[in-house]
Amino acid sequence: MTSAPESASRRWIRTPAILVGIGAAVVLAGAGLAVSRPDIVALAVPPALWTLLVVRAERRARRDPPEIRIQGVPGGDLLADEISIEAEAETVDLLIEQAERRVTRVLVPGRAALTTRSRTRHSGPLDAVRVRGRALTADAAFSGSDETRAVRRRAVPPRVREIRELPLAPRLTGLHGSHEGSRPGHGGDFRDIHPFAPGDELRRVDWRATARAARRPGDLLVRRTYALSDASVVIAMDAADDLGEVVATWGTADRARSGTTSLDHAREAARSLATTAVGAGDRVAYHVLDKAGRSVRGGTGSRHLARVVSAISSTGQAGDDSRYRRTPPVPQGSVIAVLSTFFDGAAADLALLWRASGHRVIAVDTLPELDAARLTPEQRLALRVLLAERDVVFRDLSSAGVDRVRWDDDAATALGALARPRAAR
Amino acid sequence: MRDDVLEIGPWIPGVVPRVALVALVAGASAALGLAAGWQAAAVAAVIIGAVWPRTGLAWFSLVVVPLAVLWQPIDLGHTMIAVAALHLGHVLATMMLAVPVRSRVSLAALRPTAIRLVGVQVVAQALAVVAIVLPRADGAGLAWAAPLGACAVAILAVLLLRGLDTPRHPEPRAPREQSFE
Repeated sequence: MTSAPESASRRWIRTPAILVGIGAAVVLAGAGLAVSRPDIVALAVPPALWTLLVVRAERRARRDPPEIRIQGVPGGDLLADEISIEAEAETVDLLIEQAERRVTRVLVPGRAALTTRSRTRHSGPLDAVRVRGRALTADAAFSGSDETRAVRRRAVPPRVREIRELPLAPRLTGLHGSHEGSRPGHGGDFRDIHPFAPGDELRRVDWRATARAARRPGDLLVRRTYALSDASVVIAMDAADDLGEVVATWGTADRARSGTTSLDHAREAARSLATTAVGAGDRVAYHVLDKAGRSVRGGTGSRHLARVVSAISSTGQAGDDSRYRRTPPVPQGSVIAVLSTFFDGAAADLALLWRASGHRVIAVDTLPELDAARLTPEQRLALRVLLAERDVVFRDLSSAGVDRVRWDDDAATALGALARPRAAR
Repeated sequence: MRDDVLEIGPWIPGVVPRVALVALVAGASAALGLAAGWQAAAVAAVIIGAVWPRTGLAWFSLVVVPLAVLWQPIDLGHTMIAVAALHLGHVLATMMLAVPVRSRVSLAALRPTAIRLVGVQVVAQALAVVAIVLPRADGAGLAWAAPLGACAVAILAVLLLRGLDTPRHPEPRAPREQSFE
């Protein structure tokens, strides 16, 4: 990332040091002559020479703002970036913000390379390094009138949690995959014994069943199996809220003290679900429920998973139009995981709509375990009301047949429990 | 390990120039044999100037250096100390305007300043030695040096003022303490 602003009137801004130097030189030289003291005249030499040198340095130094480049470097599990400074000035004054929390002001030479390393506690989009810089020259007696800004934006991938089994849609329609479908075909378990029909393979003829159950000579019975089918998993993330564990930080942008946030949970849940689904050979689609939200169409395979993870990692809190929820198209017979805090009911309405369309819908509650410390009694009461309203939303979802999973340490077990009835069928 | 690490090479804290200036004024006023009252006033002024650089009291506190030289008989040692203290104090007071207390200053960034400081000091100390060893101009033999010196001062003033590339249009007022807006 590079930044260099254009300015038609670049110039150095002087500090009072120049005038002080000139004044001191003239006054000391004049006073020394007036009182016939050569030692006083000698005191005028340093400020006079200094002023001449710095004025010369001002004329020689180009007035272009510093050029700032930021590029990522290997840093293990840390976010590591290298900041390269190119300026004609002697010194560059930099204001560096790391991981949107730590601000450091440094003075470095005109050509310098700095390294930043940050450990982030949150996934998702992040301004890993923000830099503002201006040129200084001649003992900082002159500063550049233009400021350069540069930003290195990163998408921090969430952790992936191991999930053994995902719930499946009640009716699988695909013809490729690893799940037993509802249609007759190859690869699955026994379905039924059926009279031979044109198109049936001869090797499917069950001779024992034919001998036992054929009614007329020449009748043949074939053994049919279920087809193996792929499932379609749709992950819909509600990015309207990003609420941390510490309730006192709600409504602020204080991510340093917020603890794990709901979007951290949502991103982790989305990645875990996508990884498990692709690992099982299923199709995965990803949608952010926001007007400008990103969508990744359904697909499978490791490349598609990389695309989905990239989209998940770059999903941040929605902007001003966050109350608006769009309804992305979903294929028939999908399992839809709606990832939300379910505070305002918009995501719940979508879940109900999809459930009414016959999809299997799982409401993944991404609200973290709350820390209500440092709340006033009024705030505690408001929180209780909010949570009570949320319980009502979940009751409505449950009565409509929407499964609920809370994304915590037991989420994988809960998803496995939801998957079990289908697996046992 | 800390969550955020910034590597800029060897550096000093931004408070060092301010502490150095206070120590310089206190040390110079003591070495030049100033009266205790003047010493206290100079130190008080430089401390206030170091805490609030935009007051300009750091420069004001350096006034005691030529005063101390003026109030005493000519002495080469005192003159050399005063030449060094005045110059270094002016540079530190200039830097204080741009270097916040909680900043870091890379040592490599101070290299041009150090080179300029040494260069100016070499010339200034040599001239100081020459000026002190010259006989005092109270006799008739060196009376001609007075109008020559006056002319030199006038030329110096013109040179310094012409060195400033004054823009035609009024430029934005220079911030006394430089900071990002």
